[in-house]
Amino acid sequence: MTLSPMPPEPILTRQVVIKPDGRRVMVYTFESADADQPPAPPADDSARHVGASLEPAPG
Amino acid sequence: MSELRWNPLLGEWTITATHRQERTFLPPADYCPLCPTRPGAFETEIPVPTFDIVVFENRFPSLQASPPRPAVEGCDLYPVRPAQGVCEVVVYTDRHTTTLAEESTERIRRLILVWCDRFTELGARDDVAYVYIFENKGEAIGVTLHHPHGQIYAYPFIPPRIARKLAQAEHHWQSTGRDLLGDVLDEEQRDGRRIVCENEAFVAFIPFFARFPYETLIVPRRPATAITDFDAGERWRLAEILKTLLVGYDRLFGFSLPYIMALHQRPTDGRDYPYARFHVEFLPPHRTAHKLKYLAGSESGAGAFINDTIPEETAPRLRACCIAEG
Repeated sequence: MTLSPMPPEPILTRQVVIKPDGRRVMVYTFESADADQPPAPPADDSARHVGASLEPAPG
Repeated sequence: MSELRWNPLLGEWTITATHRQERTFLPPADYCPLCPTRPGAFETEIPVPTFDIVVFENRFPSLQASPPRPAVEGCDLYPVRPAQGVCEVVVYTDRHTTTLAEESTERIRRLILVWCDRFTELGARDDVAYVYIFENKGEAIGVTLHHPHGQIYAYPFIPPRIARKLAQAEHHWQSTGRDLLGDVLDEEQRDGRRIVCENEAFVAFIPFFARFPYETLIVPRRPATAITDFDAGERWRLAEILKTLLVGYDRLFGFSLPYIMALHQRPTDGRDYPYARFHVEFLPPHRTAHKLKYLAGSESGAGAFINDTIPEETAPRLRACCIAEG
């Protein structure tokens, strides 16, 4: 069972932008509750393919 | 043209949305509409140069806050309603070539905070009866954009499969006084063979009745009807078990596994649902590395699923791939 330490939860902020066609865009930012807490680490940026080659579909 | 058409044979709504035939289909990475708009580059859906997580209203929605009038006349047999609701796209990161499994537990926690915000705002709308948060991942599922993202459909009705699950839970609640998914969790823990991973707040397992070989449920140990019921500690543990399971899925066959991820919560139609229990459902279509489970004659025509595997054999395989992430 996982019992890793829990970093402090960041505070969510939402900024709403209205696009020219009227649609809403919500831009979320996260302020660390702990000034020493690093930002979310980036992921591995190498290109990848989701899924694999598959057998033909039936019928 | 877009409207809700009543299916009297099944007692459920069909959503028509002909404009979706024109939606962007697998564009090259340079023209991804979910990437940020870089200075001097083409204008994407997201009008900022960098971002953490962004949600926007779908350009090709199945449901709209101001829907057009139905293009056809209804009748007693075939009622018709406007396709009222909201369809949003949740962009997990500004990085094009990643997946949720490859993101940090911290970023998954931030996504959970965004899900809470969207559930609260959309669920408060008078025209929304159910807020459905989900992700389609991989071309095997039918994604049209590779940039890591999920979706939210805010329906004006409770979708039929969810209504059926709620009806089962209500019947169990009324006849036993207990919540059904809680009893399922107890049985899975008592048996133990189908548990995939767990932490102090959540348990993931391939259920006894799984329809797909690697179908998984993540269930909270304590009753909670919606994602907004969790405290900060539980949100972190949910992020943790999602990370563990997602990484495990990618290790299973040695490639980034396609799946449907669905969050199940209480409806937001103003009624009480004490028997509803939050859970996350994963439906990966792969039954082996190179073979998919298709919804063919029995599944699509009769609604009777045939699973070519048994969860007592698939769960240990997936469990071996699920090593808790630090």
